[in-house]
Amino acid sequence: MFCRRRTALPVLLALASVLAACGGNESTGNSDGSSGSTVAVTATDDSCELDRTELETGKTTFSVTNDGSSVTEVYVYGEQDGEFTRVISEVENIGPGTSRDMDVDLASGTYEVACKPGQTGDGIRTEISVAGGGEAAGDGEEEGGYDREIELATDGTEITGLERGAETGERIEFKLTNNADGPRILEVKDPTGAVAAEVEVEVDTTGETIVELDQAGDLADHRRR
Amino acid sequence: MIANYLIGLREGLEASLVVSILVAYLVKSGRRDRLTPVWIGVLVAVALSLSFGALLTFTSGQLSFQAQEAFAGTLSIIAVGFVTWMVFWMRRTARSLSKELRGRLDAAVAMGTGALVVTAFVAVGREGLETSLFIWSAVQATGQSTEPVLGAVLGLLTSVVIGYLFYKGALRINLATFFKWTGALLIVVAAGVLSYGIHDLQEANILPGLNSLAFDVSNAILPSSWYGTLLKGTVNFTPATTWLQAIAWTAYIIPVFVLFLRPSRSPAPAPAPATETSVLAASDR
Repeated sequence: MFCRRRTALPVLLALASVLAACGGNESTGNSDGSSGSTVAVTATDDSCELDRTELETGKTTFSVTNDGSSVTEVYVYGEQDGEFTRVISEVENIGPGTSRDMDVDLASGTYEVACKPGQTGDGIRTEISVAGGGEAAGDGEEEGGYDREIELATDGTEITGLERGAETGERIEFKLTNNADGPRILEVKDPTGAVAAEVEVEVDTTGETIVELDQAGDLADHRRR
Repeated sequence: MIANYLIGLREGLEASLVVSILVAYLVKSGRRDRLTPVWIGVLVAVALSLSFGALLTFTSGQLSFQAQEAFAGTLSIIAVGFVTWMVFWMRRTARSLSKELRGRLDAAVAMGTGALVVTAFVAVGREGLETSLFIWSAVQATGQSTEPVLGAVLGLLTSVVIGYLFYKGALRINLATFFKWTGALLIVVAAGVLSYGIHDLQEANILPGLNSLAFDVSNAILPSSWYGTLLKGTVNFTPATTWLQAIAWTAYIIPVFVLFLRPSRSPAPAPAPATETSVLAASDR
């Protein structure tokens, strides 16, 4: 019914397979920096300071503090048609003197973080770059280090090449060859429906993303619309 | 202080209006026994929102942005359905009320009890999660300053007081006028909720067209101003409205208003103090 230029082709990891990037019990891992990381964002009425702009892939917590006098909101924008307009994440209603955390799963690429004092306009923007092919930046694994490769292909209507059955702790590289007529996004979802990894694939190219499972589970493909 | 106050006011205003209209209607039509389900719906929504918001704030668990927007958007569209139902339900029972004055009871009110609970619940719960996340972030900040939490709570209290005053005023006007104006107001509110829900779903990337704006008057009507707050809090006016929002708003409000105004011959409310019985009987066709 609605045509999206970039159709998502999510791959759902069914049953209890929980990915390293999600789950409440990973918080200890977050604080010591082994998985996920925190970026402090300080917003005022006319500035938007990030304590760093070079990030690793995976879960990132943007910890936003509003030191200004007006209500603010913070967006993470992804690139779409050469402009940073695709909303990756947003947190609104950050009142003066308060803080809010925003968790975002970031694939490698370039993004813009925007603070919008007064909740209006295009915002004060800062470009951030996200690098690294793996999920866990701290465990010393090289980019491309994975146990298994699953080669997928899409012609725009279905995904082929999906293998079922994953092992505990397995690192899987999903590689998507896009034979469709437009750019596609491959999303790997955990059972809660959260995006654990994603990669944008242009027409007639191949893109890959790596996920690590911390429990055994089952793979299922799932087409949205 | 003012900014936090205005958020609290904005988030509470719409729910206060819907609930006060519902309560005023039940009281006016002599249905005080039906107030309990309404308050249960309100309390459950508040309790659920606050505890879920606290859970998300004080544990490391977080809802993804998409999930949150999809949740709020879906609940908004459900709320539109229930508020629309409420408008026509009030109208229908208004007709039976005229019969009731002649000594006959109608089953319509009994039918609506479950729906009353749900209406009150979705009216309050719709933005409840976002509001409670805001409240808890203000509570968390009390270590450094109590101003945010004070502002937020005062704003919410103000919205409740406005709802109460609205209720008091509504009790005083005659029943025919009450139906006409609150019904019309609820339709405008519901259309705004629909538009807002569409925007949430666009942000969640479930619906397209987030960046194709029909108009953008955010320079003239600042979202942080008091009038911007009131417009947003009551009719959910978005200064930067997308085409899809504008289309949905129009596609909802025109047919619903046509249906709503259908039986009444004169579109303008009769200024003459007609008796309730005769006015209601005249519209009972």
